[in-house]
Amino acid sequence: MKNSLILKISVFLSFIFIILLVSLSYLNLDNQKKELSKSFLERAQATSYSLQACISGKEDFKDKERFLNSIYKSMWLDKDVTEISFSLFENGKLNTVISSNRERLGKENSANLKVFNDEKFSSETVRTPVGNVLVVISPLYISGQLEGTIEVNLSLREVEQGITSSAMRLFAYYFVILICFIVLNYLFLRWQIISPILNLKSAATEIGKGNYSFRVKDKIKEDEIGELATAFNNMAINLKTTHGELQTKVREITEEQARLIASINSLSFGFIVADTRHTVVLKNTAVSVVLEIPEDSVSVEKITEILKTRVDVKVLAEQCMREKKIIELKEVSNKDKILRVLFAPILIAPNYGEVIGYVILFEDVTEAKLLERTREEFFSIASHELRTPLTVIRGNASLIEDFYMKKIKDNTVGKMVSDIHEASIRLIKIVGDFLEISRLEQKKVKFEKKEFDGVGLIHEVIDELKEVALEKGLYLRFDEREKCEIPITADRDRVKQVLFNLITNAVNYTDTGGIVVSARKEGGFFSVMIKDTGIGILRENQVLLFRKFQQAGKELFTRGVTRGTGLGLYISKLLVEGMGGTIELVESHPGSGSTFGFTVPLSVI
Amino acid sequence: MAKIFMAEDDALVARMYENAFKLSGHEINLAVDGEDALEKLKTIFPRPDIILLDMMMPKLSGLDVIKKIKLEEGLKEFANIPIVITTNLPKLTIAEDVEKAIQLGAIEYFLKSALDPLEFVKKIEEIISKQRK
Repeated sequence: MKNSLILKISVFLSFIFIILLVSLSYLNLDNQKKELSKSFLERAQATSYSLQACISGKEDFKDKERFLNSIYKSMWLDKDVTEISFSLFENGKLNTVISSNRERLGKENSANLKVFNDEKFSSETVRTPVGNVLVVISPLYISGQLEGTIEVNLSLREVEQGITSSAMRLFAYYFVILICFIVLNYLFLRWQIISPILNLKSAATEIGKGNYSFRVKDKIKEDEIGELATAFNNMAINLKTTHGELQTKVREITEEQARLIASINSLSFGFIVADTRHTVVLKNTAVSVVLEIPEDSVSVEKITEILKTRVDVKVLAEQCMREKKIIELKEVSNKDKILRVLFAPILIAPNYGEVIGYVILFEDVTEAKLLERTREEFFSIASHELRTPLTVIRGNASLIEDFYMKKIKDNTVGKMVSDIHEASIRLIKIVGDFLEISRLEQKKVKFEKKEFDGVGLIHEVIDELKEVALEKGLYLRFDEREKCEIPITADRDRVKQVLFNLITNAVNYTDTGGIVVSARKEGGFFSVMIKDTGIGILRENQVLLFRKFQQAGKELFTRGVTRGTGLGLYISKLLVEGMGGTIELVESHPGSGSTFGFTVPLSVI
Repeated sequence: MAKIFMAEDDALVARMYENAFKLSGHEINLAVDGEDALEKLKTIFPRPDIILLDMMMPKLSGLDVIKKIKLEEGLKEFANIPIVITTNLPKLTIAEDVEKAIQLGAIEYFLKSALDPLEFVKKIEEIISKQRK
């Protein structure tokens, strides 16, 4: 390990330790040196004192040889003394009179003048070619009189040698201590820090590999690393739980996705999911089939390019995302196909406010459209072909009735002709009803929007039917309590058709009494009630009332009154619902009458 | 008495209306298709008071005939005669064509099966008398 933690810590600690030892040894050696220097100084002073003591009189200096010899002989001289000089002050000058160094004999000794003048002892260390020398100068008193100076030179070589050797010893000693320190330090660190950390590391590696059951198993100490290991184990436990949950979730999502992809691939219409930057995220194989482009070239750009003369796909996609609304194009022709194209924004929870892209569906509706057109054409042609001969029957019967009735002697024949006439009218009406139902069921009918007075319309219908009612001896009137106008915006003809139908039914199924129509505004709706005093409808027949071919009679083959096509209520229901209203049988009691009601929004959207 | 010109491809329907108008005291000329109508129109003197055109006819449709009468130079003399469309096609199927015809100057549209012949004659008489005023 290049950047081993243990190495770093060891180097750092050793460095501190070395600094400590060096400063210790410096203090130690310095102290030792001071001690030695002091003892040397004392020795030099002792020598100079003993020399002082040897001198009894000035005359002694005359025979210098003898004096020196006597000194060397009479006293024990320190073995380290290298030079002794005596200087006397004569005629204002300090001259060396006696010296173990012959070169200095008889020469002026100005170096010692300061000591003589100050009468003060001085010492200094002088560097010489043979090593450092301690020079001690003291004033010389002869018979109590200051007469000169004594200079004693002491070699310091021994002192230095002693210090050097003790320093060597000290360093050797410290080196051993340092090595021991490093070794102990290493072992301690390894035992206390590195091993637990390595344990943690291998545990982390195991968990990293996906072995979420792995734990730090060694005895966990109660220190920081121990706490770390405990925390690590807790984390591993949580991780295992979380990972388990995550795996379940991932599995669920994967399954969901697989189902989704299988579903969209099984769709017969093209399915594209794109993000907000128009990058296709998901698509199915049908896209290329429906749009007739190679599968690998399916992109929003490509589709925009293909359909650019009919619709701008990108602009619509952006509109759909911006308005968060589904956009449907019912007929987009592409080559020889008719497509239904649907744009839907993808909104995400929680508030479904953020748009993350959109879905485009391409449905090939060519077949359906062709079928629709064929059906439409069939109904048109069929009704035309049926109506043409019916027109002839109706017309001729009517002409006979109008111009030749007087010539027909037999009343029965006359009745037959009028029956033919009536039947042909009914048949023509049925053809019209069929056509209308087909259109209404296919939601092909467009309702006009015009403002008109609802009450006025009711009066109009009542006026048209009043004669029929009077013929049957019935009253037919509008509820006089409602006199004001009710303006509504809707398809006037269609509302009239419903009114006409319901009032005609009421007249047809009423034999005594009459019909009252009422109208009012009710919560944004124009609400109309038609109340009759007719035969009423049995409860079991009430539910079938608004179905195809139903009449209020008891049974299929024994209908009480067989007028109308049986399609009237069904058409009324389709019309009213087509305009956004409702129609219902409000109440009915067999024998005492029925009330029908319908509503139309005051303003049809 | 009025002079009626009617283009109707169905012989039975044509005869029925022929009878109706004749019985009501009017004069009627008939054509069997669009082309026939344009040819016969030119031969009728004095000009008819009204032209009744079936919408769905062979060769030229009622709408085509109106276009020719109203827009072609050679037929300009007929342009002022009122034209009425008759049909048995559902209103929604021919709504567009009827609208065009009205825009071109047709006066009214009638569903043949919805009226008894005398009712029809009455309505035509009304149109003619309005036109005369």
